[in-house]
Parts: sequence; structure tokens; C-alpha cells
Amino acid sequence: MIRNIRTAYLMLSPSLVWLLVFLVVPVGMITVISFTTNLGFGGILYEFSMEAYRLAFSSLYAKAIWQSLWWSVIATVICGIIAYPFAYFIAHAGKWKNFLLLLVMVPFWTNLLIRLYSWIILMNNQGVINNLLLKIGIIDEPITMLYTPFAIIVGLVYGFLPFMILPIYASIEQLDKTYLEAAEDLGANPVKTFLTVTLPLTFPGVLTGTIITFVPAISVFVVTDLLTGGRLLMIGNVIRDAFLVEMNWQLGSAISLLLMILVLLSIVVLIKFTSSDDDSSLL
Amino acid sequence: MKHLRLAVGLVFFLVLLTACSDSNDDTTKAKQNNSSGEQALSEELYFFNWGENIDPEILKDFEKEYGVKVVYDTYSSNQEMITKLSSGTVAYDIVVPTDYFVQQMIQEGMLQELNLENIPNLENIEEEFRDPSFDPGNKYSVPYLYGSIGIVYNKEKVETPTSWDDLWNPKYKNHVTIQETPREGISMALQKHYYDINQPTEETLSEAKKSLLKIKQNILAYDSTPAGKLVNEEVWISQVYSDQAGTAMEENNNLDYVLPEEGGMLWMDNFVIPKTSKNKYTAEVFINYMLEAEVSKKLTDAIPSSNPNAAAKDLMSEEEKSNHASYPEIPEKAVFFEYLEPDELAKMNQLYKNIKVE
Repeated sequence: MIRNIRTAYLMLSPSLVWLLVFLVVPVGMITVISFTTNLGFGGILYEFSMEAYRLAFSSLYAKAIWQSLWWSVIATVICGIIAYPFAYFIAHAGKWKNFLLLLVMVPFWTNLLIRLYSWIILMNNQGVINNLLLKIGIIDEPITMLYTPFAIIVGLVYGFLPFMILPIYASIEQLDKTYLEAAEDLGANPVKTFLTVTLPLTFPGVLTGTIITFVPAISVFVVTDLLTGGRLLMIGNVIRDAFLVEMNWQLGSAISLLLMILVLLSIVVLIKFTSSDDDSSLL
Repeated sequence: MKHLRLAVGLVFFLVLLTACSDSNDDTTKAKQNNSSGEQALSEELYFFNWGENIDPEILKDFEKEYGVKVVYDTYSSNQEMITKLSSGTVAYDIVVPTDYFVQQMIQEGMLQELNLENIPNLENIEEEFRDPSFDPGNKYSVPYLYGSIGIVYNKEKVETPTSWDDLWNPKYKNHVTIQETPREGISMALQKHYYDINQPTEETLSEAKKSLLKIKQNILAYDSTPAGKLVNEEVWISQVYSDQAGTAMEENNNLDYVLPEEGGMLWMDNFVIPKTSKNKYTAEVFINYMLEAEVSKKLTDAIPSSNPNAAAKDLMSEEEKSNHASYPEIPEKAVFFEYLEPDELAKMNQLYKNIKVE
């Protein structure tokens, strides 16, 4: 018995070490730093201080968090609406399935930064889309798309859509087809089958997709930087600026921690509200 | 086991030693070539500079001429440089802080006094750039490159601007960018009211805030590197660093650069030698080399900043000297940024963020 436990730990050790080095240690460090004293220009004085939290709880950062929350929720919902039919289609695409999945993943081979630059070229006032519409004569004046909230939504949805498609696809793919046959045999029409059988059974996929889309979307800063011209204050930008521009590591750490807690709480709430009593498949 | 480790360690150590003594031979040769100095040149020189702030050829030339290997790293902000320097991972011999950061580093005791006897080429620097307010008598620093913050504008779209006020013109709605960094942006608003950018007070800052809230309607983006947006003409008028203006003007002939009548701001990057440097003499030789007329000319041929080196400027063509981005008419009122206390800067940072969310 003892031996088995030992082997188990041994087998687990790579991932445990990974978690320790890349999760526990950094989170521990920012926790400690957030309670130290700022010496000005980036210096850390190891003396207890709540100054960073006093600042972090000001209305300024509440607004920034609220804005980030708002845009990332909208982006996540749109991702879900696009991704479900998309994933459903792929799962039923027969021999094209693998090819289509590959197409979903291809963009990941290029850095998000570079892909966002191409959106700039597309959405620019002098950009591809506006030029095309002007030439065809649909519009007389270029439509301002870049540097507007529309651009953030495009950027976020585009950047994180695959995170939504893949888990939904996986759950639709694993769906036991005999349930569908049973529903049909018992006289349910396709719409009813979908609503009462397919959707509930694939819901864990939607939930996973929602979480892994929402979490990075709330803290990403390249999208807002590039597509809105830094006009909106999002929480990811605030954290980056605290570290790199203001040299206030304490503030950056404190806001990061608060954001982490907020994200964890919203995930817990999401799961509590959506899972039925016996559905513990996710957690 | 212990013995084995010891043995491996020893072998490794010996290999290192021989490697060192090998290269020592090289430097003695180099020293003989350069017999003018009594002090010895080191084997390596650790140079920490802004990104895209040098012609790599120059470093190679120096290596060839003096037999010193230059280890070159770059940073993207003064703060980053100071953070890395204080972490002590690499003992850099030369770093290039901007004006008021020189002052700060002097105050914090981070710099070594220069032996100007080893830097006779300081003579080449224009009179007006020697003996700067942030380092009287050039005790710790030597000018490297300078530039300004002013207005770049598109001649086809905009009437020739004369003042910061022109950026507030409602006709340019959605065609304006200002600096992304709080101090630069706020200083523009302060200067617009002819307030001192280096002595911000509660009142002047609240005036500046009002002005910045007003210009928000005009602003397309808060951007410190808007060259691309200027070139493709989505931005017509912009508060920029002169080197961004220079880069943009090379690509689009409709663009021109001017300093506003309120003065605009000046900046100067400077060579300094940190306390932690172990190769002070070599660093001074290198600084002196960089101030040679031809070398300095080569530098500003490659990058768009302005050259404070009079001897190098003599080598330039009239066309180069009349480039508005590099050598604009500098108004009397133009000022250098000076050192501000951390809490004053923190106030500015908060203010800028507040403007964005309001």
C-alpha cells in the first residue's frame, strides 16, 4: 500500500513541481510584495504596509475592473453563441472533422499580437474593409471601427473563440448517440431533442469553454492597447502599468490578487448557479 | 561521491582559468597597440543602452580598434534600467539615463564621478549642452543624444500649428494623439497654461486635468509611438517625441514638426558609469570614442535623434542640418524635465488614469 502511494506521488511529481514553481511560488511572492512598502522607483522595503490596498480599493480601479468585467462577459457570451453551432457542425462533419478542427487551431501558430495587427489593417479608416466598401459605393465616409468598443469585442471574440469551440466540440463529440435515437423513438422532434437532450448533456463543455474564455479575456491587455488606442482603462493595462510604468510593484501585486479572487468567485458562482444537484462532472 | 564532485569542479575551474588567461593575452596585445594610456583596458565592456539607440557597426569598429569586447544589452525605459541595475545581475559599465534620471541616480549615489581627463572629446559637445542643470559641470554624465517633445502635423490637413492649443481644435476631432505616459501628457497640458512643468501644484494639476478632459473628444489614441498612424494619415496632429516625428517624416512628405510657442520639452540621454562598474577606465575610453566627430556622425546617420556634438554636426550636409525633426528651432521657453518626488509622480499617474475612466 505504502509503495503504491509512493509511486503515485512519484508519478505526480513533475506536475506537482510545475504547480509549485509556476503557481504557488509566484502567487506567494505577489502576496508578500503587496503588503510591503514602496520606496518610489520600484524599490521594495520589507516593512508591512496596507498602502497598496488602500489605493487598490479606490473608485478608479473599481471602474477599471467593472469595465473589464463588462467587456469580457459580452465577449464570452458572443463567443458562446458563435461557438456552439460551429462546434456542432464540426462534430457532425464526418470525414472533414479533423481538417476543420485543424483550421480552428491554425491561428494559434501565430502570436496574438501579430494577428491583432492584421485587424488594425483590416479595420483602419484607410483599411481594407473601409476601402472595399467605399469602392463598391456602399458607404461614402469610412466607418470608424478601430479605437471603438466594437474593436475590443472583435479583438476579444477573435482571440478567444477557439477556447470556446474546442471544449464544446469535445462534449458534443462524446455525446452518446443512443440518447438521441431514444428521444426520436419516443416521439420527440429534432428541436425538442436538441433542447432537452443534447444541450443539457453538452453543458459541461459550454461551462468549461465559458471559464477558459472569460478568465483570459478579463485580464488581457494587448487587445485594448492595440485596438482602442489606450483610451479605455482595463484592469490588465492597469496591472501592467503599475509594474512597468509607475514602478509600483505593491499596487500591481495587490490588484492582481484582488482580480484573482474576483475571478475565482465568479467561477464559483457560475458553477453553483448552473450545475444541477447531481452534476459534479466538472469539479 | 564527494570526491568525484570535487574533481569535476576542479577540472571545470581549470578550464575556466585557461580560458581566461588565453583572452588575457589578447588584451595585452590590445594594450600595446594603444600605448597612450597608462591604465589597462579591460577585456570586456558591459554597455546597457536604450533599444534601437545605436548603429551596431560602431560597436564592431570599437572592438576592432581597441580589442575590447562590447557586451550590449538594451532596455525600454529608465525605470527598467534602474531596476535591473539595482538587482545587480550584471555589473554594467555604461548606462544611458535620460536627464532627470541622471539627477536621481546621482542623488541615490548610484554613479561614479568621471575622470574628464580621459574624455577630452567632451570639447566636441556644443557649448549649450555642456554643464546641464541636472549635472552641473558634467561631473557624472556626458551628453549622448538629445531631442524634444513637440507637435508633428500634416500640412495638407491642418493649419500650421503654433501652440499646444492647436491640438484642442475641435476640427481635428478623432485625428489627434497625445503621449501615453502620464508625465509627458500632463506636462503638455501644464505648459499650455504656461505653468511650470517641473513644479506641479494642486491648482495647476487640476487646471491641467480640466484641459485633458476637454481634449479627450479629439483624441484617437494615447500613443507614445504614433509614427505609423501619422504616416497613413489617420492622425493629423500629435504630441510626439522628435525621433518619432523624424521616423514618420521620412515616410510621408506631408508631415512637419514644430515646437510650440509655449516652449515644448527637451530631453537628453547621457552616458554615465554606475558605481558597480569594474571597468571605469575602459568605459571612459569608450565614451571618448563615441564623442569622436566621425563616430558621432555615424550614430545620428543611423538613428533619428538629434546630435549634441558640434564637431559631428560640422560633417553633416545642409540638408541633414535643416531637418526639422532633428534640429527644430528651439524656443527660449523649452525646458528639460527635472526630478520629481515619487509621490508627485504617483499623483500624476493617478490623474492620468482618472482622465481615462471619466
